[in-house]
Amino acid sequence: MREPEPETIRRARAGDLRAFESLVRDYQADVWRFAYHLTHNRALAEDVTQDAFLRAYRGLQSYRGQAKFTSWLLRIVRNCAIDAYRKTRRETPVADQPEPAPRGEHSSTASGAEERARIHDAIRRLPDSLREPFVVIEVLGFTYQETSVILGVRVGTVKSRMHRARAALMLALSDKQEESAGEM
Amino acid sequence: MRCDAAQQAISTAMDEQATLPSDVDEHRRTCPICAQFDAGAWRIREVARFEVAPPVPDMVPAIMAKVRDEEADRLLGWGPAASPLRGWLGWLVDRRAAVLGAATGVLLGLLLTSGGLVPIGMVNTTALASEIPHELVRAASGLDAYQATFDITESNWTKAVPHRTFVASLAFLAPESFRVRVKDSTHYPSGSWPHNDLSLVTDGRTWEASGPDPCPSANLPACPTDGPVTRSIVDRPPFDARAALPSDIIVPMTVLAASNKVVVNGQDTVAGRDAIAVELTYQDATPLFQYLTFLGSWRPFFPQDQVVVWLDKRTWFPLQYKVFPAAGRERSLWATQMGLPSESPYEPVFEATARSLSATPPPAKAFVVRPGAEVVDEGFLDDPLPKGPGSGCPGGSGPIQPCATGGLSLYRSGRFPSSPLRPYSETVLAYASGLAWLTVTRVERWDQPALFGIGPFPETVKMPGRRGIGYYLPATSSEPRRLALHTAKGEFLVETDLPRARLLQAAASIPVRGLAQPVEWRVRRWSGGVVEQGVAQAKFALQRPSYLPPGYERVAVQTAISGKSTGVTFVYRRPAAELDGVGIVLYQASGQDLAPPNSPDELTVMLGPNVGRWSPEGHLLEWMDGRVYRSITGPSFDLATIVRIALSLRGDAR
Repeated sequence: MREPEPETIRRARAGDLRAFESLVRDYQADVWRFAYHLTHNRALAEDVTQDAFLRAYRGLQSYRGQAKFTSWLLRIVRNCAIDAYRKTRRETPVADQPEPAPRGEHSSTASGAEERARIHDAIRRLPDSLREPFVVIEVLGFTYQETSVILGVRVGTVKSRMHRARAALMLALSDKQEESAGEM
Repeated sequence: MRCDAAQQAISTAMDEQATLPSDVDEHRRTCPICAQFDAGAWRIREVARFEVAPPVPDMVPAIMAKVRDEEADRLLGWGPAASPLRGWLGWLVDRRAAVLGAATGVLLGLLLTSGGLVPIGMVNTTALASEIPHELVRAASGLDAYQATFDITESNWTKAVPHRTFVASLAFLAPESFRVRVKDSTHYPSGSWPHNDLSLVTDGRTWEASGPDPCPSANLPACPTDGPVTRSIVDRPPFDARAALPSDIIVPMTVLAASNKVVVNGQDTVAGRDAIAVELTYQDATPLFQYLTFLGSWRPFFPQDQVVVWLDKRTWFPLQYKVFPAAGRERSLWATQMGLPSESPYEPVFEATARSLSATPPPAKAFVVRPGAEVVDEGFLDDPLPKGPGSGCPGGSGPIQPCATGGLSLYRSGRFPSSPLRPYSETVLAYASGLAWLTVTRVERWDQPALFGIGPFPETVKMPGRRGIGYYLPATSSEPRRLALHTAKGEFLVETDLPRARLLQAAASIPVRGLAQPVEWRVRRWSGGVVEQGVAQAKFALQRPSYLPPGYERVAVQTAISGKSTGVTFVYRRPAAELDGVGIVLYQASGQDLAPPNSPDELTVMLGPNVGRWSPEGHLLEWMDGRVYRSITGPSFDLATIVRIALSLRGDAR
């Protein structure tokens, strides 16, 4: 994720709503995607995104550039997602059905599409503590250091969880392959 | 090696984009389980990272509506605390959308008092940006008197004194009486630290500045041993650049008033006044600091540091300005070299805020100058003002002068007496209105092979009204905008703080015709070669930039032939002001090599297929392009900008 111009942040901090709007415009897609990966629910991801930007607006005064802006923003998103999860747990959360394969997928081989679906399904089934670093690093491309800021854990913990996430995915995928082989 | 350790190492290497340690790599090659882990992990990355992104809804309107609602809540004072007004406020909050729509003006007033910058959504920003320079000129021309007090804070002067505070009192009486006193209110670690108390006062004809001598902060507090210094000037010519009035703090004429448009940032209130915030780099804002930096020790700023200036919407006086550090590695390196700590781009490192401001005339005694012991006599002699228009103007018969001065009135006339050092005659006419001024210097019997009063690389301009040609230079940090005319009636130099168009207009109304400077002034020969101004001739492929920073134009060119070397210099500047006095200089030469490095600070830079060298101290980028030596200098620009210009060089520059 590209960092915004410091000037834009400074203006937004000073209360310039146009500068803040440009931040929202530039980062809404990344924020929503992260929220979607955390919640598996489009509507909930939308709520989390709106809530996160509102909290970011309130919190800009306290942002001093000590971490990257994108790390700081995604940390807010994560906190909003946790809050949303706590709330929806009381209200019976409903995960979306897995996204249908995008159109471009039809040109792929059937086995390639199946493999992708299996991988996505395995990612969705990862426990939160492993899925979060996996999404931040693998999908959004952050470093260990930045991920530790976003998740509020030590870098060593991020490394270890990331490895465990991969190991869990490999295991899940190998189990699935065996299942599908057995079905044949 | 254990498989779990190998797989952990594979995972870490993937995420850190690092090479696998040799023992892990060896294990991976021979262990089918770890090889499968490696292949599988990369396949998962491919699928996860390169999946087709699901469509994202546009949430900007919804988010911004919530943000605006919250801002309105805050301004309306809505909150959980019990209050007799709570019921009314609740009603108001419930209807805030209608209130906002119906009473924009009232709420805008509330917003302006909120202390934060507010977007100019209801104002035409583009129109405002181009209107501000005109308004500044209008305000300056109509300003007869001014008094103000500024509270100033400065960060990171030295490690021992990271925070300093000052109070600056300013007074101005048109056209040239000016006074500034800066009182240092800092709490220093001990009495040995020099207080940065400064004073500058002038009545136009006499000028005096006093304060501690500038001193490298690393030497403090030991540096100034002789106490304050005093510099006095008598018989000062009008609007003398060597003893200038640092009046941009009153109305910023040097850059802001001379721009086509300015960058408008937002609105706010400062000292209870409605203000417009505009933004410029420190390199362009240096005139705003000259009322402080004429003496004493101050912290340095990076040329690309951002200066936000809040201008009074009614009078256009600066009410406040703040300096924010630029971001980036180069700025960090510079800060290290300067001994500054790490500085956040979000926190101002310098602030000046008007505590009081008025246009009430200060008493004349405020500008009384009592010159000290060391006095410099500039030797200007005042003459009676000529009556009526000058010869060549309708109904005129007096000395040659502009027929149109755009509302500026003649206020001083005089001359420098001839002497062995000044064997020519030099007369000066000065015109003023408020803070706006213009001088016309006429020199007869000029004996030098160069234009009078103009440095190297002037821009040749066509004078309006078919008045021939003139030679123009933008303002620098020490010189005003100026135009030289070489005429059959002598050399003329027109200087002003007005914008370039007004300068050309006034100069074109002088009843003379500007001639091209003689060839022998343009071409200089010496035993080693020849330098020719205004031509670009070389036997190798000249290149020109397809990218230049906004506002920059090619204004001058020079060819120098010496032995086997031919060098061509292109100069690029902005028309209103080039405060470093240089702009951007592109030099290309055959028969020259890259000199050996001579500074540990020099950096190697890749310029496409060529290796270049960046000298931060001289802001010089140089490289060999085959057999052609090329260099770009830009004292006000960082490496990234200079590299961008270098990479944009294309084709033939004729």
